[in-house]
Amino acid sequence: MSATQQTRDHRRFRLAANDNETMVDTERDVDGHSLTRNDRESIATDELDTEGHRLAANDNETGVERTRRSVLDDSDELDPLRARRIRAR
Amino acid sequence: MAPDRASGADGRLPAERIDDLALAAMDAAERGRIAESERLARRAVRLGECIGDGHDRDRNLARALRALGTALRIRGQYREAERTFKQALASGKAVFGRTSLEAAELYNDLGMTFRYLGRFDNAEAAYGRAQLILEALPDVASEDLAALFHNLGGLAHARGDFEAAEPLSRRAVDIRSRSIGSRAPAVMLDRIAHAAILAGLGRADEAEATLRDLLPDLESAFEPDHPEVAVALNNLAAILQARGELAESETLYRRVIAIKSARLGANSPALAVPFNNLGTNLRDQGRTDEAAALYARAAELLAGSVEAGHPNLLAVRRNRARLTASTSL
Repeated sequence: MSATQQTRDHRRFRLAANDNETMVDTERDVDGHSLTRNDRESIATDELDTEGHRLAANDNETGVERTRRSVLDDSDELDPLRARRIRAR
Repeated sequence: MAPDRASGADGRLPAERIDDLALAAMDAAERGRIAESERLARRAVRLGECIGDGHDRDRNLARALRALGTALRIRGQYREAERTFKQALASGKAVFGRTSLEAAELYNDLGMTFRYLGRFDNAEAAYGRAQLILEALPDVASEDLAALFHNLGGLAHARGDFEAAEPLSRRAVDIRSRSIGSRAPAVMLDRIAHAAILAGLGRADEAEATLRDLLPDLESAFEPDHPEVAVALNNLAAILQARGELAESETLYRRVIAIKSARLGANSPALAVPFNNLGTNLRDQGRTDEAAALYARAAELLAGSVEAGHPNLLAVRRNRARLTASTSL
């Protein structure tokens, strides 16, 4: 494969990003309009309680890592990089 | 690259044809041509499966399967996308290594797929693995880090945790803006995702201003009927609806449905959100029969595609239940 091809591949195969779509819930606000699912009051509390840990607010990479859990069902063992990080905590 | 170059008629090796097909498939996905993307990616996978066992097969299959998984995820075929990305990851780890950029890309892809499925803990774990790999790479691209933070913010958004989502999403905007400028297409997508979080935090005016500012450039950078444009329009419509501007909101929802139907197929679960939202709009207008039909279609599309506890599926079912209760009084 040529260098040009490698460059094109690398550019195109960058990490993808998801969409944040607003879902409307019909619980009404004081004006009689529908609320969106973005309005937290409109979400049943069990939605938020059954999904495990959340990412920490106002935090940086460390906070994200702190809440990380390994629940993938592939068969990865703990890699050396991760083991070093855990030992360093 | 023109697809016919990959036919083999030019005498190139299968690996080169697979690379070109996979690249063309990813290009098509970026342009919102999802059916074309899937067709090209399936050709790449078929060619890859003809290569004998070894690194050459794994390298080509990893790329071809990633392209196929991307098309499937965008179309809303999340379970098939999950299987495809896992196959790609197995091949990718075998040939590129478990801590390679390619592995990080595929963990990120899996994380996105899990998020859309509603398996948020799995998504968090997959993003975590991608993050560990990226942080250890000596020359990680800032755009890759930005995408990861965009997705971590998106996961928190999907969980309804907007306070957690906002700084993560803002960080993605900051990182990528510094790298490629504030009006680059990828940055516009970061800012649109951030606007959805702002709306969730009750900062609807800021969110609306961002969306109205970006939409013309977004339509120019992509196309007016690109699925990414549809997401921005849906979110703007939801803001207008919450403010009681039902007529403009309805018009926007109908445009979203038209775009998604044309680009993703009439049975894509990606239609569930605008169907549900238009249903709530029509219910607010007193058009309850139309609303009921839209809720039913949204629930049908989601029920076969996502986990039973997915927040969007639960929201549609609540909306149906409330409509039924209100009309039976």
